[in-house]
Amino acid sequence: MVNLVLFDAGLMGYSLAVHILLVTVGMTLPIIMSIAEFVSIKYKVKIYDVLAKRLANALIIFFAVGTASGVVVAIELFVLWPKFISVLGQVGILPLYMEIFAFFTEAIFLGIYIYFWNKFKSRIRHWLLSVFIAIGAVMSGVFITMINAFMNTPKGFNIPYYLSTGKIIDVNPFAVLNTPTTWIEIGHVIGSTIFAGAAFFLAYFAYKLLKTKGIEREYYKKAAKIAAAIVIIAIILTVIIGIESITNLMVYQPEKFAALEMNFNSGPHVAEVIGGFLVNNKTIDSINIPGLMSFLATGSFNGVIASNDSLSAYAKSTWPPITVVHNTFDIMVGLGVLIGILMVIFLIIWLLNVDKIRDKFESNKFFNRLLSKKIFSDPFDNPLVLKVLIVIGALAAFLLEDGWVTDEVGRQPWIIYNVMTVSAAANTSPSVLPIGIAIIAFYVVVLPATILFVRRVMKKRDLKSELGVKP
Amino acid sequence: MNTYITINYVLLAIVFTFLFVEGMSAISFIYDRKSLPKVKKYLDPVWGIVGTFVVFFVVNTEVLYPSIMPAIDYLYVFPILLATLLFIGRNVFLVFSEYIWKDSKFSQLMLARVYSLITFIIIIILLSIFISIISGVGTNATLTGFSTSVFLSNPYVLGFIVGTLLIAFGLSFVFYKIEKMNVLSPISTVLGLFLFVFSISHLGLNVNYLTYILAAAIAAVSIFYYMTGKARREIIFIVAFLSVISINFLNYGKVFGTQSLTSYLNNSAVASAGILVTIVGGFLLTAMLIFFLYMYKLPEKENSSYDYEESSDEDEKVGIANLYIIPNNNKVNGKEHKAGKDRKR
Repeated sequence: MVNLVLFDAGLMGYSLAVHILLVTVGMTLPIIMSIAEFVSIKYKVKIYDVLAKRLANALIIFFAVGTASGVVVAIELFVLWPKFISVLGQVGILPLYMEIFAFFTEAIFLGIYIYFWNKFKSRIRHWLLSVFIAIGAVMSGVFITMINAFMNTPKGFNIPYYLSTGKIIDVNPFAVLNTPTTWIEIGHVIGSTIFAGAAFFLAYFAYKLLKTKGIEREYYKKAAKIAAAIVIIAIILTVIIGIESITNLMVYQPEKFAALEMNFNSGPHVAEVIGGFLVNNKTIDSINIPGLMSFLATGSFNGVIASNDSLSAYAKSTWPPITVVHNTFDIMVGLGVLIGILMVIFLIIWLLNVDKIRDKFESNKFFNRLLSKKIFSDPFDNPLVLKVLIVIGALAAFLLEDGWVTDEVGRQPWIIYNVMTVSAAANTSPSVLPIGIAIIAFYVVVLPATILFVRRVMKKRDLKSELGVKP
Repeated sequence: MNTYITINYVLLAIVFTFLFVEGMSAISFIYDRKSLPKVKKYLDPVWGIVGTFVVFFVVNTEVLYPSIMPAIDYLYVFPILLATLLFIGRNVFLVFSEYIWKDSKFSQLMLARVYSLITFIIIIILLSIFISIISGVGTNATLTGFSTSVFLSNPYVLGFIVGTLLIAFGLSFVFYKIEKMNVLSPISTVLGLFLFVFSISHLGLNVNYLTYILAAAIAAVSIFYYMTGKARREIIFIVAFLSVISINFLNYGKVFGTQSLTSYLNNSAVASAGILVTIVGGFLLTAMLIFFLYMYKLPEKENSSYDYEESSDEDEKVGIANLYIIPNNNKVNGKEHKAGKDRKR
C-alpha cells in the first residue's frame, strides 16, 4: 500500500522542483531583456534591440509553461494539503492573494509588450513595460516567499490556543507579511533565483561564444556581459544574505539550525561539522574544525552556542532527516561561496580588460606583464573561462534545488513549524495517485520539450536579417 | 446581500465568461480552418490573462471560504488535478502553435486543434465541478465522497454541459464572423439555450423571467448576425457575464444543493483584509486592463521612432509581433486594418 502522505509530499516536492527552474528563467529573462532594450534605446545600438526581441520570444514561451506550472503548484497546494490551506486561509493567505495581482501585472504587460510592440511611438514607454514585467515577476516571488516564511516562523494568530483547542483566534492577517524570517528569506530566495537564472543564461551565451564567430559572436558577447553583471551582483548579495539567514535560523528555528549543522554540542568552542553521516545518533565520516561554529556564530572561537541550538535539546521524533539536510546545507554553502569567489575573480579580470582601465595603466610594467598572461585576457574571449562559466551555469541550477531541499526538508516533520505536521495536513484520498503519477510523467516531457522548442525557435532566426545587414 | 459572496460571484462570472469565449475559440479551430488567423488574433494576447483570472477566482474562494476547501478537495481532487494538468497542455500547445516554424512537421493548425481538444476537456471538467457544487449532484450527504456514476447518469447534467457547448458553438460564428454554414449559428444557439434552461431548472436551480430575457437576448444576437452579418464582440461578453451572474444570484448562497454558502464564510479578520486587497488590487487590475484594451484598439503607429545610426531601412523598423511572432498578428487589430492595410510590411 502506498503511503499517501509521502506520495503527496513527493508530488508537491517534484512539482516545485520543476517549477522553480521555470521561475528562475521567468524572473531573470525580463531583467536581461529590460537591460538590453534600455541599452539599445540609450546608445542606439541595434544589436541590443535584437537581443531584447529574441529574449521576449523565449520569455513568452517559458511564461506559457511557467504560468501553467504555477497553477499546478497552486492547485496542488489546495488539494494535497486541505488542512494546511484551511489554516492558511484563516490566518496568512494574503500574500498568496497579493501574488495574483503581481501575476496579472506580469501577464498583462507582457501581452502588451510583445503583441503591441509596433503600436508604441515612444520607445522608452515601451521599455517601461519591461520594467513592470520584471517587477511583476519578482513580486510574485516575494509574495510566495512570504508564505514560506510563515510556514517556517508562523505568526498572526494565537498559536497556544490553536494547539490546545484547534480553533483559530486573535488573527492579524497582516502579520504574515512580516514574520521574523520574512525579509531575510525574501532576500535570499530572490537573490539566489536571479543568480541561478542569470548563470543559466550566461552558460548558454558562453557556449554560443565558443561556437560562433563574426557578428553572431559579437551578439552573444553583449548578451553574456549583461548576464555576467547580473550573476556577479546576485551571487554577492545571496552569499551575504545567506550568512545573515543562518544567524536568523539560530534565533528563530534553532532545531532546524542544529539539524543543518548536525550539531549535538553547546557551550564554548563548538566545532563546525562538515559532511558526514548520522548513524545511531553519532556523527561519522565528518570533518570537524574545532571552535569554528562558535566563531561563525559569535565572532569568537570561544563564543557560546546556546543549548537550544543543539539537537540534544529536541525529541528525536521532531528531527528532520539529519544526514540529508546537513549535507545539502554544506554543499549549498560550499558551492555558493566557491562560485562567489570565482565570480569576483571573473569581475576583476573583466575590469582589467575594460578599455578605459587598460588605457589608464598602460605605462605600468607590472600591469602590462599581468595582462600578457592568457588567464588575464578578456574573459569573454578566453575559452577556459567560458567553459568554467558553463559549469557554473549547471551548478547554479543544482545549487538552487539543493538550497530549496535544505529549506523544505529541514522543516520536517512540520508543514507549519511547531503548529501542524505534514501528515496531519495531507489529503489521503487515493484519487490523488493516478493523476499525481500523470503530472510527474507530464512534467518529464514538457520541460525538455519546451527547452528544445525555444532552442529551435532561436535557431531559426537569422541574425543578419534581424540586424538589417545585407548579405 | 453579502459583499464577500457578491465579489466571489462577480469573479466567477468573469472567469466563466472568458472560458466560454475560449470555448468558442476552440470550437472555431476545429470547425473552420480559415478561422485560425482571426481566432489567434484575439486569443494570443489574452490567454495569459484568462489563466490568471482562473487562479484569481480560486485564491479568492480560498480567502473567503477556507473551510469549504477540505470538502471540495476530497470531492473533486481527481477532476481538479486533471484540469490543472490539462491546463499545462493548453498553454503549451497554444504557444507552440504561435511559434511553430514553417517547415516543421507540426502545422500551426494541427497544434491549435490539439489545444482545442484540451480546452474542451478543461471546460467540460470545470462546468461539471461548477454544476456539482451548486446543485450537489454526485456528492453524498456528508460531503466525503463523489459518485461519478450518479453524476454522469443524470441526464440534466449532460443537458447542461451539452447545452452550454451548443450555445458556444452558435455564438462562435458571431464572435469570429465565421461564414461557413452560418445558418448553424442560430440553430445551435437556440437549441443549446432550450437544453440549458430546461436542464438547470430540472437540476433544482432557480429559473425566472430574467433567465428567459437573457436567453432571448443571446438568441437574438445569433439570429441578428445570421440575418445581417453584423455583430459586436462586447455584446457577447456582456450577455455571457450576465448569464453566469444571474444563475449565481438566482441561486444565491446555495452550495452542494441544500447547504448555505454563508455557513462557510471566513469569520476571521482575513476576510476583511481580503476585501481591502481585492479593492486595491481590483483597481490596479482594472487600470491595467483598460490600458490593455486601449492598446488593443490603438492603430499601429505610422512612423517608427526606431532611430539607429547604422540603418534607416524601413523594413528594420517593423516590430517584434510582425517579425518574430506571428506574421499577421496585428494586421487587423481593432481599427488599424482600416488605416494601415496598404502599409509596407
